[in-house]
Formats: sequence, structure tokens, C-alpha cells
Amino acid sequence: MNLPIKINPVEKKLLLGGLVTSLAYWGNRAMREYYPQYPAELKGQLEPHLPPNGDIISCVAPPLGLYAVKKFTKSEKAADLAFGATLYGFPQVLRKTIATAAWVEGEKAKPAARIATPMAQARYTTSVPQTTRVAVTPTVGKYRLTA
Amino acid sequence: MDTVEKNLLIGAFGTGLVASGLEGYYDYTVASGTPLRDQFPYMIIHPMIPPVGDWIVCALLPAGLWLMGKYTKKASLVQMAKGGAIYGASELIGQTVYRVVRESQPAAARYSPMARGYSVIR
Repeated sequence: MNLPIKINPVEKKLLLGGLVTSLAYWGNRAMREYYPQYPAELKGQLEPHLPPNGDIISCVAPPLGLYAVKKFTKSEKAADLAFGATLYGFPQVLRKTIATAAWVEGEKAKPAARIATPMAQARYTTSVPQTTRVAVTPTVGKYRLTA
Repeated sequence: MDTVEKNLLIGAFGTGLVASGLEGYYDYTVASGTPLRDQFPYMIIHPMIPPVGDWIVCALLPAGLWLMGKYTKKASLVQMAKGGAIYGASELIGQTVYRVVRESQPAAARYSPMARGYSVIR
């Protein structure tokens, strides 16, 4: 296939590594949202400003795994794939951390909802109602108030 | 780490940082109760493809950097553009796959309340 932009074999491997991490990340997102048995540990956050654990793992695990493969097999292909995975995974963790932190700070900046204060409640005091006599003159079939 | 790898990393992190600025600002406004929905660059052309902002950051930014590198004949700029393009292309493809999956599911099938902000613009 002739592409308009020349991509050398190393760049193809880098792109493939990036795609592997990207699909791991977005696959994890889809699983979290649509799979009821998604583990709670992966949904949890170490700290409110950090993205969910599953997001961090899905971004960091592919490059680390590929680097481990490279260590054992001494393969150049695995090294390129691992570096490509790093090019997507680590900036994505940074991006999601900044976005999550911005969300948390935004929630803090949200104006508090108006609630009834004790002062407002104190305006209405309870008192024992005074019983007043009301003379009622019976008429035919009806009662008429005279007081 | 050689110079080429450093430049690729700078490009990828640079693109990621610009994208995080865009996403962070949107998420901040949504969380603080004043969302920027349907405003540039947070518009959406189709629910199955990423928002306009992502196309600008992940495609136009590396392309601009690449053209600038070619024009000024600076190899370092071209390498940074390639780093940004690897991040950007992976992000756009991955996010498109996710959005296609999401749009093909009924809304009632969603379990997680953590899907919020920029990444769920539809």
C-alpha cells in the first residue's frame, strides 16, 4: 500500500505500540462502563486527584510488559513496540490525572446549594393556640358564625 | 536514550499536555456547574467520532509542527511532530473505537457513574 506520507518500519512499530496501549486504555474504559462484573479495585482511586486504578494500569502495563519481553528476548521489534507504547501510555496518564484533578477542583469551586438556615426557621415560633369561644346560632339546616 | 527518542517523547508529552489543558478546562467548567457544551472547540460532529478539540490537538497540531519542521529544515521539529502524531493517532483511533462501542449500547446498559466530563461529550 502506498501511503502519502512515508513511514519507515521503525515508525510503524512505534505506531503499533501506541495503538496497543490506546486500545487497552479505551477497552478498559468500555469494560468499566458496560461490564457489571468489572472489579471494584480497578474502579477505585488511590487519591481523588488521580484517575481510576484501571486507567493507570491500562496505560502503564503495556509499555512495561513490552519492555519485559524485550529484556528476555533481546528483540529489537519488542523494544520499538515498547517505546511506541510509552509514547501513548505515559502522556495519557498525565492527561487523565490533570483532567481528574481539574474535575475535583471544579467541584470544590462549585457554589454551595442554598439550604434552610436555623435563623430562617427561628422566624416561626410555635405557640399554644388560644381557645376562643364562638357562639353558634343554629339556623335551619345550617350554622352561622356570630363572633 | 538517543536524541531521536528524546524528541519523540517531547512531541508526545507536548501533545498530551495541550490535550490535557483542553480536557482539564472542560472538566473544571462542568464540575463547577458552568459547562462549555457546544462551544468551540468542544463541539461534536457525530457522537461516534471524537470532539473537534481532539482533532485539532491530535491531528492538526502534529501536522503543523511537521510542516514547520519541513519548512525550517529542522529535523528535531519533524521528530517531535512524529512523537505527537503517534500519540494523536493512537488517541483518535482508540477513542473512535470506544465511541462506536458506546453508541451501539443502550444507555441503560451503563454501570459506571465515573464516565463524565470531556470524554463523554456526545
